Amino acid sequence: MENKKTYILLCFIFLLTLGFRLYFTLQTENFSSDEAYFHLRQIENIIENKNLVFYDDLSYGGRDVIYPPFFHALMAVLSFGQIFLLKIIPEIFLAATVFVVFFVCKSLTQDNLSSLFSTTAFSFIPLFIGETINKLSVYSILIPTIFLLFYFLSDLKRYATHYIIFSFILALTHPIAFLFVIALLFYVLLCLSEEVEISGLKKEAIVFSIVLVLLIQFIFYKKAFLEYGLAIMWQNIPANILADSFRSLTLFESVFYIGIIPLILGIIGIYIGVFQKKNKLSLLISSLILSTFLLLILRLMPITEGLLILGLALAVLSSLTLKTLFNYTQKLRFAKLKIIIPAMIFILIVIFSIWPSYLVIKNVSFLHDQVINDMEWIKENTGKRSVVLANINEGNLITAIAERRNVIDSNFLLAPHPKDRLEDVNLLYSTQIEAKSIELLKKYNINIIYLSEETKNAYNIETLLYYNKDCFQKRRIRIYEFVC
Amino acid sequence: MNLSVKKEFFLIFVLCVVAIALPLVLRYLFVGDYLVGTESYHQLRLAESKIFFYDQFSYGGRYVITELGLPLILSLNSALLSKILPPIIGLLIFTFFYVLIKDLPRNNRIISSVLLIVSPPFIYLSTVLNKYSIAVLIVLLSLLLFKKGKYFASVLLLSVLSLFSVFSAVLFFFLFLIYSRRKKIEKKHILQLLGLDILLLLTQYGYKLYYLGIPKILKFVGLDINVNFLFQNFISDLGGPYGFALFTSILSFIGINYFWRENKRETLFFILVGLVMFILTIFFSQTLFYLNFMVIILASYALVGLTKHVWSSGLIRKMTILVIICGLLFSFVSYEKRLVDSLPNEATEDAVYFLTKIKNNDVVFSHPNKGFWISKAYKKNVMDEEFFYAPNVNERYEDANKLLYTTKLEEASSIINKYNIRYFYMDNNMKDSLYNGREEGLLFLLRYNPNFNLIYKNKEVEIWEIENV
Repeated sequence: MENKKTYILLCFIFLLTLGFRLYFTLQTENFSSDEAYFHLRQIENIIENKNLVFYDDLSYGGRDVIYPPFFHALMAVLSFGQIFLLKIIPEIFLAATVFVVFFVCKSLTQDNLSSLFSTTAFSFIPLFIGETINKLSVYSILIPTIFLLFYFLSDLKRYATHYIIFSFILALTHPIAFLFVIALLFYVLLCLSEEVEISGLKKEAIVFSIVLVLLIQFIFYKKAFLEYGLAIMWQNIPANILADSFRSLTLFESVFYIGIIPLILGIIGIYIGVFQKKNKLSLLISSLILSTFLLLILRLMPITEGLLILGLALAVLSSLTLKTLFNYTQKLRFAKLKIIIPAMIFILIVIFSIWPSYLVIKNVSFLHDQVINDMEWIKENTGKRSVVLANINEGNLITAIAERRNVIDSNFLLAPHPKDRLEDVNLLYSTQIEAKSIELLKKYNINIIYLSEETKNAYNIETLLYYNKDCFQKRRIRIYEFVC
Repeated sequence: MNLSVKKEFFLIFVLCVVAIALPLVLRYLFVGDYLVGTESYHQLRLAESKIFFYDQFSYGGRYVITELGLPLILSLNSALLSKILPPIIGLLIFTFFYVLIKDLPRNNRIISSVLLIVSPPFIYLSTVLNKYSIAVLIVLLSLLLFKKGKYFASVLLLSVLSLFSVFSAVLFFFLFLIYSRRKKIEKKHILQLLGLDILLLLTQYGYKLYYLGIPKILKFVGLDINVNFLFQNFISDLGGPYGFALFTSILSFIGINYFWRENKRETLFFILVGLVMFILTIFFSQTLFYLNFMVIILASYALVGLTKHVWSSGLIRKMTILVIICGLLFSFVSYEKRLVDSLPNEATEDAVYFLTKIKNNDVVFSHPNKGFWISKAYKKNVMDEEFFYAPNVNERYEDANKLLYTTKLEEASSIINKYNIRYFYMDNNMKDSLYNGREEGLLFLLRYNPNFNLIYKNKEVEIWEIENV
């Protein structure tokens, strides 16, 4: 395929991905996840106070916060805190990842057609879509950075400076930088086992990445390391949530979230890359897959994060399989197969990637305007020192929009007693015993109880089971005030 | 810039003075004029009270087992020596180390010296009053004499080691034995050392051994209150009280390769000794003080090797070395800060003073890590960190743990009566580490049982008295 045509098609894929993302993102003024509001709050703080949040006096009623600052700082600079821009910029970054992926695939295969197919499959992995659309997701920086780093590492003579800069970006963005380091160590092992020579420059770059990631992560997470030791990888998550987030990998989940096309073609791609071509970039991507797979098997990595990385890397390696397949069809005498096979692959990508992605995003529960209105009502009608009870998935909304203290939220690292708090919150929404509920409400100084539709569904209740007019006032449909 | 050896030494010495003085001065300015840690108070009390045989406050009364070298020296002028001894010893350790490694290539020598200065074990030895500082100093001096061929003087010094650390004396007797055989040194020196060691050990412990028998094997590992897992002890950045800096330990592994290239004959012996010390550290964390010198030398080989190595990219070379230096400095600065902020502080001192004022010798219960402070207040403790030869140490440890975590009054009262406990010392450090800030275990009992009266409280410490259990 000609380069000009290829680039036009690549731009088309970019526009298609961006359009798909923006179509869903701009349907609502709100973000789709509670976590997005954690990021929003950090970004707004950088803009307003020109500093990072290390102590959050609203989350858990006051606790230390540690999070690498690059994503928040970049978004603050690019968006000036405009929510509209904060909704669009991450989607542009995520859509633009197609260019990165295309060049990685092209470098792997030297083939435009298979690279374009892989790029399309990459952009529409159901989990990738579900986890990143309208979520102000840190993955918008993380995913392109990881693949760019692998790309730069495969051609360090040209990209040494780029590699250094992006290594800093990765280390300053997310603790997943450790996965990158593990992947590099896997790469060394893989090269040793396959008798592939690693150049001096590459060895140096690997050493640099290891020491850099260790230093930066140690600086940021020192307090957590001292507190939890090696158990830091479980992030202080309460046991019942931990069992769910770090659950074992199953084949069904892999097929469902990654999509059958990238999964099968990617696995074949690993075989071709590692054992046949022994291409350095394919060894690098394979080591990322193997290290992620190992961490998932050992339950040392959250399943969503692991499957996401696994799916994206498999999609990239699927280009090797596609190229082999297309080359093979070229040799066949039946000329029409040269068109039929790519067309079939395209149809399969539509059926097994694009369509499921559409279904996933359609079923993602966007935050309703009524929730945001409730939060704004709380902000305007309650005391500044009020403590608001909400379910764990609404904790960041309480701090970011209502600007009030919450009892619990989903950021557990260094949070005070998240296990106890989660049990108490569950009890507060499910108990019928008034004395117990009042004891717990007083324990956390709670004066506002938020009973959203999501909470009602989660706890299978219609109202507060211990509600009485002596101690509780119904201030709004979903908001109660504790007055005893 | 080519400096003469004297100038080079002087410059690094000044750096050493700054590194040692910095935490002491900052602590004096921002925390107060208090010694760091718990052992320092134990040594000081033994010296001040001239307790050399029977200690009525430790474990409710026991024979003094700790080595008496340091208390004897301190007893000359405890107030002054407790302050100036650690930094002076630190400077001497640095000087002896520098002289010992004089034969190393210049760059290795300079980098080793600087790495020593910024290493947490060295900073600990130079700022905290503890018996190992003098033991390390003696070992270095003895090595220096050994290197100069003055074997008898070296042996004499090594034998004195048992006055400060029996563990070190035993360790270095075996190391001397192995090294002497390797260097084909006359057997008489080994016999001299063995004889002197036995003589001094028998003088110190013979009668105790006769009266008390063989010490009990500990059925627990006495970890520091903030140390949650054994491996933490090795790395100061992970919370070890005097562990290695993270980057120094990584560099030391890389350094093995470079050391091997330059010293093929010595490497195996060096690594084997290092490995033995590493294993010993798991059981005796004080081995870290000696292992630190080996780790530092290996790390210096790594740093020199990395700088000399022909890098394919000058930029990556500069960035890697910069990041490593930042990592070393980060460990150094954060360790110095930890020392400055460490307990005891004004609140602890005030609480200990309050205990001192109580006119009786009743038993005060707390975590074993607070035991030395309690005995410094002339009150009996149930347990402290001197586990060796302690009376019923395993039973006491089990009971102490039960009492710390029980919420049942019956269970608590049986232990309270068993040890005649009258007071409880509870500080924020215990509340955070043992109870995670919750009102659990003993804390719950103290708060909600009317039999316990809060008789003292400041921002850090609470002291409770038992009325009737």
